[in-house]
Amino acid sequence: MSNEIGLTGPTQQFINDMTALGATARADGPRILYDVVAVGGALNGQTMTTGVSVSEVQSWPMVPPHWIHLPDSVAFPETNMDDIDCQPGWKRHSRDFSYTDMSMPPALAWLRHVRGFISIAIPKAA
Amino acid sequence: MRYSVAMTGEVEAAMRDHLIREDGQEDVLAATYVLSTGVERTTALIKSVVFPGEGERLVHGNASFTSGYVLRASNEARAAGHGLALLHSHPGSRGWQLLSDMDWETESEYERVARGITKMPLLGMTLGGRDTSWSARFWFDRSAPTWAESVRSVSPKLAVTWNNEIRRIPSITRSQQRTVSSWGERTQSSIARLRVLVVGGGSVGLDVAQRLAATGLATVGVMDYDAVETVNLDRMIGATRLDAALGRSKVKVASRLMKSAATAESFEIHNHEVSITDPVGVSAALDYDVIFSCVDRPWPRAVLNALAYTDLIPVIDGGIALDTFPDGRMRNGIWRAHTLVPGRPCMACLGQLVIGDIPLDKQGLLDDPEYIAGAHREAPSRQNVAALSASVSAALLAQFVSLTAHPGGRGVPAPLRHVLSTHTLEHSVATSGPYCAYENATTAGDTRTPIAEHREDWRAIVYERATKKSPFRLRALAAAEDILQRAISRLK
Repeated sequence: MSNEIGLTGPTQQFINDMTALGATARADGPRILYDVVAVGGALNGQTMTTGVSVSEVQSWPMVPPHWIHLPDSVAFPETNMDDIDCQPGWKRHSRDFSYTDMSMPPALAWLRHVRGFISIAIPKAA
Repeated sequence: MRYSVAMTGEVEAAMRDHLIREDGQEDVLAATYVLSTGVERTTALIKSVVFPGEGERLVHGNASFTSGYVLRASNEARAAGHGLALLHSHPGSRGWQLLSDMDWETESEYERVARGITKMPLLGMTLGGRDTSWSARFWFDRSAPTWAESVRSVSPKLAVTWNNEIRRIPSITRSQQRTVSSWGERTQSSIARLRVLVVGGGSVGLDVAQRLAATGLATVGVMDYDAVETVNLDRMIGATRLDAALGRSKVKVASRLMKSAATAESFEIHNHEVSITDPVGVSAALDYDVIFSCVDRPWPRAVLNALAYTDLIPVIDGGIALDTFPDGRMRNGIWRAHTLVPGRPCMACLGQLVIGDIPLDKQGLLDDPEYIAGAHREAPSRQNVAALSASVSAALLAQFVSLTAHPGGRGVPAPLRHVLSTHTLEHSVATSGPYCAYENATTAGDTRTPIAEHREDWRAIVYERATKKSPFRLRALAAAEDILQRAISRLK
């Protein structure tokens, strides 16, 4: 793994904010990776590595990311997905993020969103 | 380059409370500032107040700084990456204040100290105690200051002190008599000098721009990179079939209509065929005192939502949503208007900007039918009718009057929501969230988090329009229309 691109202020801020909440984040080329624990669904109780594209946090925290990076082994009933900025064997998934509660830190809102998404994962079809 | 100073109402009140003494003597104060740099205007945003400690200033009729106070304030400014401002009061004076020999000498001497420590010019400010008017100057070297054009205090009430030498009071014209009789010459002279930008030249923006011109404003800008299409003609009042046939830019149409409506003796129009979501659009917007947000997409509204706080430029925003029954009949219509200033909640806190939609808009996904279907989202509602878009522009303009003329001594109201089906006007009780990234960036100035991005898509649209050749018949009609417009504009 390499840190191929320089981190802007907002990117570093995203890393710091996620790390401060216990989701230790690290840059990995064109993406930032961090770990979350699924609280339901097929992955219940498992610690999953997930991430976002660096290009999506250039205006953090005023503009949140959208796409959630996950290994191919994680499946969902229905999402838009592609493999932009993903490492081999990964996909990024789209899930509407309806964050409007400004009484909550932006990173906590994002973390809850991601955790909620991972918790609706379904078993991958054989 | 023009220069100005801006501060929040909260900062202004803190400085005013210190500088206006009960014993009637002068006082002095230090503060720090950051810059907000536009294309034609640089603004110093007062960031924090550095109150004097015991023995750090001398009050003896004419107050004076001690060098220890100036050094401490300079070092605090440098540590924060700010510049230094030195302020003093003239308790018995009113209006824009000039410098006495003694004040000149003091600021000139401290200019070198401030610049040496902070690497930024010294900002000098004076408060006239009789009418709490502010004046300001930038010291780029010690020989002479460069005077600011205006100082604005931004809160639910916008209060601007103008430097009449640089931004002269526009004459009141015969056609403005009824306007001036509504709020007086003093208010007219301040409103008329505001530089106001309308972002979005559609149904609401076009209406707002014309009414600002008719009010007597001397400078109005319109920003839009799009063109008039036939589908717009049911709402863009004043736009013609010829405009649609030629594919004229919305800013050109707005310019023509504003010229017709203008009542100022000298009216200056700025056409910005750019996008507010691009850094060039942001730089242009930083030259203005008030901005109307007449756009409906998340990304441009996010950019404007940020500028209202980071650069202390009040943004008046609103919109309309029409709801229909399954059989197509109208169920309801709701239009909203709110002014984004420190002391009032931002669009995100109001729930009027879903920030999770901003990245979708940036990536073009809200226009991608395949994505919309895959996400099981509803396509954005596009219903609108001319009869109701006028209600939106009226609501926005009423906010402008409250902001600038303060009827009843009040500024802008809480965000308003008009519900057509129940005929009710609701005042929002929404408050600012403690973690709001927009409001917490108040007075960030040039250190603002960039939301705009350089893009080629809108540039391609503008370029294609500029290079497109219309059929001869349309060009002939356009030329005839131009001759007619010029002739009309020469009428007194």
